Amino acid sequence: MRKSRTQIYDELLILKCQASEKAAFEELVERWEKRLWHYAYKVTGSDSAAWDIVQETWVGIIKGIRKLADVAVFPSWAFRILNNKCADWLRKQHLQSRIDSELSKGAQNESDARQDIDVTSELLPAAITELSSEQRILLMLRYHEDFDIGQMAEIIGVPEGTVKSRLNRTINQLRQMMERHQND
Amino acid sequence: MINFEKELKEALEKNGDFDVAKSETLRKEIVQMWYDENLRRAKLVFWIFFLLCLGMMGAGYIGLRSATDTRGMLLWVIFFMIGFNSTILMKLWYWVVHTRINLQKDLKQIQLQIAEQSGKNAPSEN
Repeated sequence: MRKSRTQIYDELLILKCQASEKAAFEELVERWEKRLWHYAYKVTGSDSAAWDIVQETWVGIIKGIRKLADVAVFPSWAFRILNNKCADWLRKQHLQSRIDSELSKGAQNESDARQDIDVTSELLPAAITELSSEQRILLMLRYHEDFDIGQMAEIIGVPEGTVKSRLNRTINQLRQMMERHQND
Repeated sequence: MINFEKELKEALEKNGDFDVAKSETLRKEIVQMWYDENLRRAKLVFWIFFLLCLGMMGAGYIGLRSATDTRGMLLWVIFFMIGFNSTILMKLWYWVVHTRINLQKDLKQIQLQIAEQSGKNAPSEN
């Protein structure tokens, strides 16, 4: 498969970073920051959490970028780090929400709040927010970041077949949700 | 199917408010972190190597002073010389790593130029 100019330029930047060129690293951050933030924001749904996760991801990238033997794998490698950070955050949130629900039974949780979204105005974005974080991750990786199934499997850390079946299930679920909302 | 995928892409594209000011602050912090990490790593490599060389040279010197036969003296001298010459090995290692990266960089530059040229020469869709 032929690489695009952007891909080659990114690879060149990474090589320059490995050669300790500060300006190259600054440019790399500038090029990737928004993309990483967008992903983290879509997965977590929180602006401040997205910023924290992006910062932690860059710390991981800084530590490992010199050891990256094949610069072509940088996108999937960076997203694997980001995905792990997001998963850590979601685990913490899940734990916290369980503690909170124990403390106050009547408190409304995040997923309830999500369901209050006006589905008639924006059907698809609203349906996406109703999906679980794992399902949103799959959609983001496939349809926003344009990773192929192999790269997605590498990022999430599951076999390719599992990714395919989960993705199909997610899309079917999304279609059903939209049909249900349309009928309502 | 294609329409649904297109809609899905558009829906996922809808972004929260990306705070540009915050992004610039964060970028500065990250670049500073990168610089500090590089400095820390360079210091660490230097001290480990320096102490290793110094240790070998020190051991070689002590061994030479305490050696009683010619064979032992020769072995300790060789040990001392290895420690001393390790500074050259360090430079050689640095040169090898940087030459590899520079070569890869040059290849990428060529790839980039080819991609740019082929983009310019590609027939227009009209």
